[in-house]
Amino acid sequence: MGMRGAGWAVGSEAKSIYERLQELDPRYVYLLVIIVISLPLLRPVGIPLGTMSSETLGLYKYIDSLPPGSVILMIADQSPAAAAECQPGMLAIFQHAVNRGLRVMFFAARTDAVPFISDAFKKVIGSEADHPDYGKRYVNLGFIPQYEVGLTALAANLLYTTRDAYGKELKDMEFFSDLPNKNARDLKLAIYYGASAVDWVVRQLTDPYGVPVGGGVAAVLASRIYPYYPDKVVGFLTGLKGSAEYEVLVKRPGEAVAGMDAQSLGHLAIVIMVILGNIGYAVSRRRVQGGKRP
Amino acid sequence: MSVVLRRHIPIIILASLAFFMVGDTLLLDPTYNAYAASARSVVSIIGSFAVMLSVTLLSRIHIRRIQRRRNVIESSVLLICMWTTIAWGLYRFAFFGEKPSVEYITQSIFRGIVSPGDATIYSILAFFIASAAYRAFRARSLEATVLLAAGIIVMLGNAPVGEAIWGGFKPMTTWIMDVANKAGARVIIMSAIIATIALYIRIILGYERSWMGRGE
Repeated sequence: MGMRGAGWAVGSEAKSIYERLQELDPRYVYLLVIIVISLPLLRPVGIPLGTMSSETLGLYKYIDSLPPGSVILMIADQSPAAAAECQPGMLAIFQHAVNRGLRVMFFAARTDAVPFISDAFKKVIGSEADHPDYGKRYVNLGFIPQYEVGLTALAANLLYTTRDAYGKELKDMEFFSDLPNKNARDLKLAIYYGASAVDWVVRQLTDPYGVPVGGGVAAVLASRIYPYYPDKVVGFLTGLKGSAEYEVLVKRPGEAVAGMDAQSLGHLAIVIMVILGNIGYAVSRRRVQGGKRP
Repeated sequence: MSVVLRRHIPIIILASLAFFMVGDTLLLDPTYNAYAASARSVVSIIGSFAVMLSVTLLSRIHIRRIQRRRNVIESSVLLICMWTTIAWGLYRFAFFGEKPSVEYITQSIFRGIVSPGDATIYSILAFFIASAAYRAFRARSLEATVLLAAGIIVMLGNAPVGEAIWGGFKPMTTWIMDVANKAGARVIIMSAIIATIALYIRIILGYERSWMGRGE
């Protein structure tokens, strides 16, 4: 039972430090969070990233092992809210695919993820539909509705949408001309980028067609992807840390690496606050049980 | 309307379609599978009509509120924005063949309004989470203590600063996520799947009729 429930933290008597710890005004917590996040963004501390996650390395090594010309599918499902964590990772993976000479096909599973594909094209290869390799090595299918149903249709026929995001005919594109099956069997990897679950991608691509899945999700959702790792999901990026690790691996440090100091200190501040709160709680409870007032 | 029309016929249609789609998974016949694929695409079509229906209903409800002279300034602005976007998208698609998903104005709205708004709301969560963690995350029992310890270890293991403090956080985090979390998450996923199958069987057999609307 908390202190208020115990019924003794009342009156005008002076409060102990433990009591004050229990009743700290949330505004002080907000202020602390602002300070520990803002300062490292304005003046980076340079905390080393530490040991590379095996999940990140797994994805990097898998992409690195694919022969040039292999087709990978990138599914953009990140909301603008999760983009701060996910988008730098998607850019880094796309950069890796470009460096390796892979063919990349994008589609967005939600309407507000479409701009992130344009963003990836512009930041990694410099332009979109007017790039000389567009239609040969890169294709943007745009928005495909209905998540799992849309992916099922795409898996059965890669040309089912008939036109790309810019209205160009898919059947005229060199990208698809030498694919033997024109379905998901031609894919060497599917990378799911998003804020929700990866289950539907595994269900529609890995189980029926044997396409391995990679991914990147917001850190709070990483626990949803672990049950599939490493059997069906070959590797994935966990939040901003995963994105930062991949940026380092492809030698393209960017937004994620820059944001890691802020995230690190934010985490540390929360952990310290939780410990302080628990010290206050433990001491107060012991004193109540011992019949003493704090 | 008779009970047959209201209840029995919809259940028979649903059950027949459900068995047809189950057959698609079990049988390898090109003709059969092609029909099943067509049936699946109907879901997208129904979804599109559902969007049209919801937009129409939303507008009707809103107009009724304006007629009753209620204060609906904020939602009127949102509704006008929605209709402007729809009208602009249809105009560009009809006359210039541009998909709304890559069209300049639509993208500008997403980049200028939706993305910053969504990102702001998500960012504010950091303050609430910090405050809630401080006030509510207490070692009140053995289970709460285990959860608290695991949470702190995973937080520090996932942030580089944790490894800078002590190298043991990273392997401990890996173990928690790889073993404890994986086992727990698999149980939850499998339970949810079994429950979903049970629910589907109830719907197909007509025991569960909430999908038919109120009063059924």
